[in-house]
Amino acid sequence: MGRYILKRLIWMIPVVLGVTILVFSIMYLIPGDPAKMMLSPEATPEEIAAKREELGLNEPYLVRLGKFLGGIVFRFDFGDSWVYNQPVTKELLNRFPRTLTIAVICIGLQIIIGIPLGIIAAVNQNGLGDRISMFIALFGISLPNFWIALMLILFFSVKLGWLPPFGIDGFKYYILPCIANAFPGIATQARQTRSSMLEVIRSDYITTARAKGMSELQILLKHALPNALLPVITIIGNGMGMLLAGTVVIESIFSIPGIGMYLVGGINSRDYNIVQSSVIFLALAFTFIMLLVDLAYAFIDPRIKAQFARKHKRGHHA
Amino acid sequence: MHNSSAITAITQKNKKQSQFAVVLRRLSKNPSAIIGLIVVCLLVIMAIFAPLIAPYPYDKQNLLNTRKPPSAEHIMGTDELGRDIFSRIVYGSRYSLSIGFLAVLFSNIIGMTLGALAGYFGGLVDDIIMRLIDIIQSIPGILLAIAISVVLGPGFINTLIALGFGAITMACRLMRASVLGIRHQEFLEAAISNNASTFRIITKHVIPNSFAPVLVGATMSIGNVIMSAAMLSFIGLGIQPPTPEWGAMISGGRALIRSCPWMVTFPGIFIMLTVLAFNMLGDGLRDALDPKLKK
Amino acid sequence: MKRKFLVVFLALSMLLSVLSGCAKEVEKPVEEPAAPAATEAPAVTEAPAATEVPAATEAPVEELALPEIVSIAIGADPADLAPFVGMSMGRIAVLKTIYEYLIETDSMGGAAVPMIAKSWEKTGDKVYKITIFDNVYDSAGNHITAADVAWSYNTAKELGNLRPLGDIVSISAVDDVTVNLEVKSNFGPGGLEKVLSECPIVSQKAYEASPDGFATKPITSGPYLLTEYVPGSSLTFERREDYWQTDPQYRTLFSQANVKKIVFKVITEAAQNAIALETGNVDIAAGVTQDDLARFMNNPAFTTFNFLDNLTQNLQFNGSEGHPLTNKELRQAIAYAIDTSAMCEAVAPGACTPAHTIGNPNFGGYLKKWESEPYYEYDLEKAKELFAASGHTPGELTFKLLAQNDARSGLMAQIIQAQLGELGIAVEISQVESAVYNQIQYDPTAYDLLLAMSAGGDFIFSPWQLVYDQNRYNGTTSNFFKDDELQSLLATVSSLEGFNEANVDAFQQYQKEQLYAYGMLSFNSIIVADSGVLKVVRDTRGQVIPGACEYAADFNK
Repeated sequence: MGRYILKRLIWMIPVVLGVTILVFSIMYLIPGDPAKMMLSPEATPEEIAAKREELGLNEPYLVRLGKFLGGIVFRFDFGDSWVYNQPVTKELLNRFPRTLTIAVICIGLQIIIGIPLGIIAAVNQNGLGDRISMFIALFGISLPNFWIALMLILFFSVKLGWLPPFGIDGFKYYILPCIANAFPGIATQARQTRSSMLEVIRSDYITTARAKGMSELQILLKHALPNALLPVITIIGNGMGMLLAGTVVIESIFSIPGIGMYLVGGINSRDYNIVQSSVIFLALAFTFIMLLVDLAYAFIDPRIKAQFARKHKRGHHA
Repeated sequence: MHNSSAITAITQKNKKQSQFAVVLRRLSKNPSAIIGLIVVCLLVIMAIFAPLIAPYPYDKQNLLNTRKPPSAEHIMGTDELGRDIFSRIVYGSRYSLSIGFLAVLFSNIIGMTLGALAGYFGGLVDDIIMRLIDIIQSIPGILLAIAISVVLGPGFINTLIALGFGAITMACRLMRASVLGIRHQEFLEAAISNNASTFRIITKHVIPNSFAPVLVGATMSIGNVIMSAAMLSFIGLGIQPPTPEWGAMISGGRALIRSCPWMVTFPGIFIMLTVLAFNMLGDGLRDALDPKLKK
Repeated sequence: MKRKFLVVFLALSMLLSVLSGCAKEVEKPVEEPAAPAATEAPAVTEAPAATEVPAATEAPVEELALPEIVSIAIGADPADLAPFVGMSMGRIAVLKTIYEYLIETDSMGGAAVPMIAKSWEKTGDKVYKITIFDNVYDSAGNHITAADVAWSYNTAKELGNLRPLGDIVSISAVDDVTVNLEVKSNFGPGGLEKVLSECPIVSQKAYEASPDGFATKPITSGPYLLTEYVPGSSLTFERREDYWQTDPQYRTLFSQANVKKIVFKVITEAAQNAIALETGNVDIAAGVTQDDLARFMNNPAFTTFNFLDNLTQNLQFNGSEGHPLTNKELRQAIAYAIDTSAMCEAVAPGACTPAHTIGNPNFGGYLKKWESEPYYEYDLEKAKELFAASGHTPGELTFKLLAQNDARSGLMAQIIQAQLGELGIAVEISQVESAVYNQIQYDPTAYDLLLAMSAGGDFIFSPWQLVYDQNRYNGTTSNFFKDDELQSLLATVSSLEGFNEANVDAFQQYQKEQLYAYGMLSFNSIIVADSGVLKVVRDTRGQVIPGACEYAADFNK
């Protein structure tokens, strides 16, 4: 297992390098001149040219890429934001906790609500419990999240006055954004859990377990759930990755300065360093989560563990 | 073990001719799947016969009759330019449905294939595919879409690619997880020991036995794709005005949600209907295609 | 109308008198920037004769009567608070609360009042002498001297982000309170004011001691001290008890400091502005959406203040050589086919005014008579006649209309598309994000029709220059027309001697006839505030200055 983790950690290098080069190239290619965005609309062509020179935008692609990579590798320097005039890393670290808070709470809600809904639905397949759970789940995913957010605000902030409508001044400021943001995740989780559970419930070994006279609850917890967990964990990992990138709509509606808004602001103002560094940062976080997901696979399913531990051999068991 | 796998192979061959009929028969027994199918058909009919169904041209403006709530004349009200919202929804179904369905189809075919390969072969193949997926997934959707629009230029197919690209990763991961779950089950080992070709094993055994979660994921992402199509028109890639498209109608009405809720509500209802219908149908298909139900 | 022009004329003569070495003058704070004509005149009449006229500010504010706190919504994060960087939506909202400048321009096209500079005069050809107050101190206790002023200007000039400073040849300190300024060419109306009111003045010592060049924690001489900045979320300012300007007659409108604490809250979702007001999270919001406004207008707990935007939404025609739109009849036909009144009502009902030029009554020199003159009011028959006269037949032309991707531009573009459809001109809309728009709008192959917004800060010719000044865009207007007569009329009207009613009108008549660009409309900016806010004061960029607003005695109590 240790070797597997080491191998995966080493694999992070090409992934992050790939992401870096890709995002750098995208920013290089897309139209929009950062120098122009920084100056007033009345700026003369000479002033713009001077600004471009100052920002180092006139250098060839490879030189710029090399400088950027060199800064990261040798000085661990992701550069400064042109718009904020601040090191990007500092601002990323300021913003990350906010995004992380929302992401963790959302994933929590997704697990506590989504998985039980899915189990209830699977156990009562085609019954009333199934129908109700799945309707809730579908409802959650087919409503636009800005609509859910605004309705929550109108009800809880404007009408009842219980919760603040926007801002980041304390824990209660995060309640509405988290609820609004969790809906699609809960829905996806519930439906995926149902699907995987159904798959497992019909397997031979569950039938065998039943024949042995185990109680339904025992079967559910001891056999069905663990075996249905792989796709369920995939959804959690995926969701976590997406939530860490920030939900721009939710951050925008609740005026939360998180990673998502930072990144989109960077894209809009063509602040290359913001975009590149945020994406690299997210890539690191993301690959790390995916590593955890894969380790969780191995932990849950001994057969996969075996595959990780030894060198994979096809048809070995036959 | 050898015997039993031979038997499986024979039964599967027999089943092959009637497989489609079996699926249909199972589907017809599932009421919610039938409802889903009917709604999908209705939506498709609406899209095809839009000019006959819509009471007004979708771009017919009436600047003297803007932002009107539903009435006998305009059953879903009018938008900021006095256009009939119902007509726009009817025409919009053409773009929204085809974008939603095709983009998801495109992304899932690619994603499933990659996921199946990664899960089945494991080792280096798995590493390379999954790390590629990591890279794609690390780039924010809007940035990917901008990049694709720059490289490929605007157009319907390119819009599909831009929208579908991000969804590949999800399908791939789900497929891989699913394949890992069945990788060492008996029927697969049997097929392998039976010396079936790898291609045959993957297409005949691996994918059918593990694609339920992918199907569920796919039906759920149709709604997402329709909504995010609106984002693309902002970067000049997707559909440009005045062509109606549900996602754009919803995001355009966002600022008016309190004073003119009908501008958001009706396109929202249609997206919801579409998502519901595809999901009900998807669930039914999932159950009908489930090989474990064959007994 | 006459009065408005008189004001401008007087303002100019006043400016001349200043330049010719007489002194400085102070203008009474303008009540309502939307209708400057009503209030400007009396202030100016006394000005030319005066040297050292006392600032006609309000009576000294009683410390105890000040409201505790006011919260105001801003639409974007200021990001970088540093003094010498470029402008952004978020920055302009807070800059005038953070920094002080040599002079202050309270209203567009109005005269400037002393802020850090006590007086300024022209001492020679293209040379000015500026005398500053000798008691300017920042919040850290640093004395701000002429050397700091020269350093601020030189630093800003070198960084190149503040455009008007490009006109400076050199600026240097003579002694502790005197600065010499040499410029490239003699200024037109408002030129000197632009230079003097553009660069924040800070202490060199404080700036150099700041680890991040004031990006997050500026130390300034202003009446408020920034106590907390949470990037992307909020800025909190507290009133300084030790503000250097103790002489009430010199305290400018923006330095009134009528409230003890100001909190700017970043609200990134338009619909949240209304909610923030309704829940009492903010007291003043400028970004309330069109559709929420109706509720506030009938609500006694709120007051709405109506201002005209500085932007003119206009349609520019591609005038590059050989383009069909170089045909004047065709351009006029298009203008006649567009119903700007209906467009106003559809896009922003009740908060929009059809334009009669590129510019509006906000600008100094605007002539009220233009509003009663014909300016391509919707007339489809006439449009069809002109279209036929242009030698084109319906169905033959397809034009690409380039617009930004905001909601209003989208609606306007679709209206233009539908109305030109009536004429038989097909229009393809291309909405792009602003970064792309800024990049390609000077590319003659990028569009046939351009939906543009033209702004300006002072006189009516400034938005004209933005579109028409052929010296700025490699010998053509911003939309690729070449016209020497236009350029010479523009040069005349924007010069100190040539800026008069006759020349302004001459340019307007010429541009109206040629119609290289068609001014369609200006939006109103409606500010909603708690009813305890008695008066809203805005700077020339249309941003609310919370410290200058007036509040009821029981505000927020």
